[in-house]
Amino acid sequence: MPQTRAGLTVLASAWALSACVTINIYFPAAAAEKAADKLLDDIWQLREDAKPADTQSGKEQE
Amino acid sequence: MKKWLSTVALPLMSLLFASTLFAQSAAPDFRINTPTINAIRDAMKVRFAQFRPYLESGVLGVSLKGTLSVRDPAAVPLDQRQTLTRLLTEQERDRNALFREIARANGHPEWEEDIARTFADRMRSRMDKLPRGWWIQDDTGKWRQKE
Repeated sequence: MPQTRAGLTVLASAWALSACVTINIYFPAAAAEKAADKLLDDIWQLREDAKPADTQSGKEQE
Repeated sequence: MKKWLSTVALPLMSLLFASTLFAQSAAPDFRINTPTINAIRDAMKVRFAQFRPYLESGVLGVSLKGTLSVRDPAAVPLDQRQTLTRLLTEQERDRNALFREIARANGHPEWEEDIARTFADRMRSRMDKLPRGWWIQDDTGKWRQKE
C-alpha cells in the first residue's frame, strides 16, 4: 500500500535525522560535570569534609 | 512493498541505529589532563590563595555564577584596590581560558559555553560546602552569609 510505504519513509527519515543530531551535538554532560567537580574542588581548595566554622584565617592547605 | 522494506528501509534503519549506539559508546573520556589546562588550573589555584582573606572578611563574595565578586568596593582598603582588581581580572581571564582550553582539548571548540554553564552549575551545588562566614549569592541575587 502506498500509504504504508510513505509512512515508513517518514519514519525512516525521522530516525535518520535524529541519528545525525545525536552524533553531531552530543555534549557529554555527565563527564563534563565530573571534570568540573574535580577542577573546582582543586582550585577552590574545598575539602572532602565540608569545612565547619573556623576562626583560623591563617589556616593553609598542606 | 516487501522488497522496499528488506532492501532499503530495514538496512538503513539498522545502520543508523547502530551508528547512534556507536556514537554514544565510542565517545572518549572527557579530557582535562593536558599541560595547558593544568597550567591554568595551577595558576588559578595559587591566585585563589590571595583571595582567601578577602572572602573571610566579606569584601569578596561568591556570585551566582560561582565567580568572585566584590560585594562592597568601598570596603577595600585604598592601597589594596589596584592589586585586588588586577587579581580578579586575571582570575576571570584564566577562568574563560580554562573553558576554552577544555573545549579545545576535547576537539569541540563550540562546547565552551556548555562547559562554562556546567562549571557554574557545579559551583552552585557546592555552595553549601563553602566555609562558614563567606558571603554567597542566592538564586534571587541577594547576598547572605554562609552558616
